[in-house]
Amino acid sequence: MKGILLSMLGIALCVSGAWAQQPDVSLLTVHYKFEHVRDTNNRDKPYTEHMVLLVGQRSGVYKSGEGGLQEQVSTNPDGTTRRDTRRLGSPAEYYQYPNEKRLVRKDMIFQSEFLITDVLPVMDWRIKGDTANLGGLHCQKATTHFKGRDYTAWFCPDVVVRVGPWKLNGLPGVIIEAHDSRNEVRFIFDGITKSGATSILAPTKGVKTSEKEFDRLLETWHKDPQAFLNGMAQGSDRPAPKIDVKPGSGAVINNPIELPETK
Amino acid sequence: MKQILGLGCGNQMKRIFGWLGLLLVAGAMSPLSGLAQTIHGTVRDSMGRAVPFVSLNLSRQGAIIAFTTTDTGGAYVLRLPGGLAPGGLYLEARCIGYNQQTRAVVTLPSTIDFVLGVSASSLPSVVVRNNRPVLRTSGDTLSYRVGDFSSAQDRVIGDVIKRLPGISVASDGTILYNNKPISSVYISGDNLLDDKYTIATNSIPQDIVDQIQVIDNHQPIKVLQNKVTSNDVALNLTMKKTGRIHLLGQESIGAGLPGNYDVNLNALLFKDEYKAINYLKGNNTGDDLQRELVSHNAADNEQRIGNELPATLLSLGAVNDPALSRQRYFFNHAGMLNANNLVNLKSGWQLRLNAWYLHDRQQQDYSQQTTTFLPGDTIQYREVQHNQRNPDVLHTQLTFNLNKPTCYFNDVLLMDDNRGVNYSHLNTNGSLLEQVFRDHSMSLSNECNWIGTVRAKNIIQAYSYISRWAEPEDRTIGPSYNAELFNHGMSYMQLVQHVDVPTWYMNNYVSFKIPGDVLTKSFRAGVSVQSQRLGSGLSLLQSDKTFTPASDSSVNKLSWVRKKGYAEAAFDVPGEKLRLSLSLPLIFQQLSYTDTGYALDKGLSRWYFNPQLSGKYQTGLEHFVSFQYSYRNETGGIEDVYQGYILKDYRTLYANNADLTLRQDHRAALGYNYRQALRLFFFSITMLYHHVVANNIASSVITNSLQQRVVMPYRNSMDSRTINGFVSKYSFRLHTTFSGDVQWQNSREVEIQNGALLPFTTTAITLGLNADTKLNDRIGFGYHATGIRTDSHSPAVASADRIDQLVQQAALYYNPTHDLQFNLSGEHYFTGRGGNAPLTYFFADARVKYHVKKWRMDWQLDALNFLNVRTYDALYLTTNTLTSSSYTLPGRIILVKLLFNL
Repeated sequence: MKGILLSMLGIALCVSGAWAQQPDVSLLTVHYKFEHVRDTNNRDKPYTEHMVLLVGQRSGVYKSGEGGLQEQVSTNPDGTTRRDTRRLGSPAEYYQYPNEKRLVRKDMIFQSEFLITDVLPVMDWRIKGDTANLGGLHCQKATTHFKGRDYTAWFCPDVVVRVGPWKLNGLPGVIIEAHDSRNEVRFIFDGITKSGATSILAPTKGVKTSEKEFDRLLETWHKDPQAFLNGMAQGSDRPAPKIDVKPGSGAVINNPIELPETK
Repeated sequence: MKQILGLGCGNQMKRIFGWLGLLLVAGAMSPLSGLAQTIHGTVRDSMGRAVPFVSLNLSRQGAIIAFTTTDTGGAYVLRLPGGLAPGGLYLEARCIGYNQQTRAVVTLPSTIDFVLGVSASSLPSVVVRNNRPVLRTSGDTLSYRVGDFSSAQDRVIGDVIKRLPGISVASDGTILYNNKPISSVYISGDNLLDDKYTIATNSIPQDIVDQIQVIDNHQPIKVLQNKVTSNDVALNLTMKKTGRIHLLGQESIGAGLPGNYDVNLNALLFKDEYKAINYLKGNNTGDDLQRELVSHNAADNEQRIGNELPATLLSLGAVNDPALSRQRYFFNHAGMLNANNLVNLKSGWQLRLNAWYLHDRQQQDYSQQTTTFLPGDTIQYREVQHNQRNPDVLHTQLTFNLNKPTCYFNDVLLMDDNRGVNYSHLNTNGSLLEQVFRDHSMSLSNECNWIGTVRAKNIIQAYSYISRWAEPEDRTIGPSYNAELFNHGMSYMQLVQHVDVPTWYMNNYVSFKIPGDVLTKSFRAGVSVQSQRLGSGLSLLQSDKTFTPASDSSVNKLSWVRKKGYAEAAFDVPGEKLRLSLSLPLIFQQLSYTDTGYALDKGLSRWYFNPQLSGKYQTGLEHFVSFQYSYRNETGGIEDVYQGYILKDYRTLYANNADLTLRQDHRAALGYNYRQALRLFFFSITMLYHHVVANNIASSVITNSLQQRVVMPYRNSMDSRTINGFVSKYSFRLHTTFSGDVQWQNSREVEIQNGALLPFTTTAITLGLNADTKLNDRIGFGYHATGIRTDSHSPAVASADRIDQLVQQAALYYNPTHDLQFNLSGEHYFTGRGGNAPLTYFFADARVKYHVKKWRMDWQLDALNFLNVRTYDALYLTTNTLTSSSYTLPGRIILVKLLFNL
């Protein structure tokens, strides 16, 4: 029996005035079952992924909990080394810094890393009287409208960090469950565990870009991967890798998380 | 700041909204305390340094209603929702690394500064688990997620409901939430079945239901919401997407030995615009299909309508049912077609049809010995009966409903036709008798209720009910039953008793409600008329096939008219903390009844005042005190005034020779209800006091062959006190719902037997214990025990009687693989009576279910009562009568079933 483990996280803090200088490390991990109806013609089979939110004292990072990059190294018959990499889960990571009102998104296209730094979105939350117990945590309901969807979120006032999954943030406690009104985007609470003190420092490695530019690159990658790789190779010493594009029936995405506002 | 403004606007807020908004747009973070309801201040540490990014949460009753954070200078401004009163508000400052601090908000606006001490720990205790059951509360709604409590062997939603913490299910299928019976089960917000919800809980597959919601203070009529209080608790089932799209069906076809069948074919649909529960069922394995048709709030419905109808007057003889679960003793051959369909039209109208037809052939074999202890005498009866009942039940209900915030309309057209031909071979004190009892009740009624709003908010209501009811009953007993008494000792063929009470009834009223800020005043005026004729005759079919009357005093031709005019003032306080409902009806009742055969021509005209008060005071967010008092004047019905003898059963001759029964009925109740929904803990205690004063009393004259009951004009009273407790808790550690209930009931009444006035005291203590574990998806366990101790005592008779009964049920579920399920269950019954050897019975059932993937079907093998218990003996104690009965049981049944889904 797995049983119940009560973990008392007694973290002695050295509270000096120098808040910002302290590197924040994760104390808790909130697990989500992320569900997204990407294709409205196929509502029965939403995209699902295990996601995690690492929560520190004043920041959080939301990323895939599937295990990230997996690498297999083998030796070819001709003596050369063969490296197979396989990514499990989506590459995007969202770093939220509520005190600094900053959101850093790290993402990847093929093997190139990108950094998108933006202002943390401000959400007009309406707090509701509804309460729930999720995984032993006392939670309260709040609703907002964000990027074309009406969200319902459950936050935990006992964990006073104003972060949440994806871009959701700004409630007086960690958002541990959220879904939109059509149940097309769902961050379903799947547990909370003690975290292994991972740094939540914003990444610095990667091509700094804007969200708009990144979306354009992603579109290029989908339409013409070789053109994307050639573009990325410009300004670096290495030649662009050659790849064979295998046309396949990629997953249909006709219902992105962020929808245009219809007013 | 934007989010705080968005929390809602009162009148004051609205007025100043314009320029306040302007200031905000300008980015003004400066204190605006003088302009609107705000709380502002600073947060510093013990060294006097400003603490930035501190969360400030304003809460009431444990729930946050507004929040903000301190800026880099440690200052904050918290803007409040409009119309907020300061009472019960708390402001807390929270920041990791500092001690949390809470302050009461006494005035508004106000300035509250915090000084926070440094704390060592940063985050609270955290439970590192994810698959724990979750309850969600939203105002008056509590939601259970079905997946948290269901197990692989559950078939229908009723299997899950009985396992939910806080909910219990009585043996007749009545669902209680924290020990209060629910009013109805809604399906995605639609009322498909009124209070006959067992149809739903017995047929909706559990895996299509997403949540089971308990709605407290449920007022289903939208016009009356927040204006007229309701203490009803309703359940609502929300469906998963899969359940809302397709036609569903859980089909099973079974056959077995000895000559058994069990078929269940259903078609269910739960779309938003169309809902249906239609099924065909049949079995001879003892599953009583009539139990699905139970109207769980029949008493409330009767009181609402106000038409008191006599119960079926004749019977084949008093036969107690054994204190076993019905399937253990029931011999049946039943089939039922049941159709329940609801259509939501775009215009807001809802059309509904509920119709069923049931046919059954029920058999019963039993022998009984009845001993009645009287002062100085003991009387015994011995009987052996073989009974067969053939009920045909036809029910049709058409409902038209419109439920909008401005208008409500509901019309129910109801038609019932229940007929039965029942036979009994009887051996009573050595004489062999054949009885045939034909019973046919028919009713047709229409209930129409319209509620609308006038002049913006006042509410007007018109109500009309009209019905016609008749139940001709004929029973023959022969040959030569009690010839000494009925035919001067000469033999004859049959004794024929006929009785019928055709009834017309109508009730109409109009009401006007004036909702205020605190109070809703209602005024109601109406009239009701009940017109009945009781016709009965007891005759003899002589050997020469002629009919002769059995006696000159066994014919009734009684006419009865009851007219009522009433006016009522009612007051409702639908507050958050206090909910009160007071109704003060003044009734003028005019009664007249005549039977020329007995020169009976009587009337009674009287004023009555039947006040009623009920209320609920919220002592906290999740606990409340409820109270109720009612005083009712009740007048007997036509069955209390007939003067000619009716042979109700072969042992009971009944007639009235007293005036109409007048009763004054007091009821008082006080309850406390507590829950901690998030901890899955429920507790309630209720005390009830019931006092009835009546102007006459039923008297029995017992002889060795007949029991004659006559009503005597002696004023008497009955008292009953009941204390009822319920507790339920889900243990997260053991994955188990534990619940327990206890009831103590003490009643005192008086009976006259053979001219002696006998006071009786009966005390019954009931104790129930339940534990249901879903250890994991593979193993589950259930245990239920109910113990009842009944003490009956009369100071006039030396003997005091005590009966102890204990029923224990245990079940073990084991699913070794996804496709294979085992279930083993047992029931143990214990009955003990002081001085006698206790009776113990044990029944065991087993089940194996195997899923065949290729066929997408399940095979199920059931072994019911596999220890093959074939007879049951029981002792019953009622006041001073001891009944010892022996019943034949169906014995072992082996059944193979094929189960598949549509």
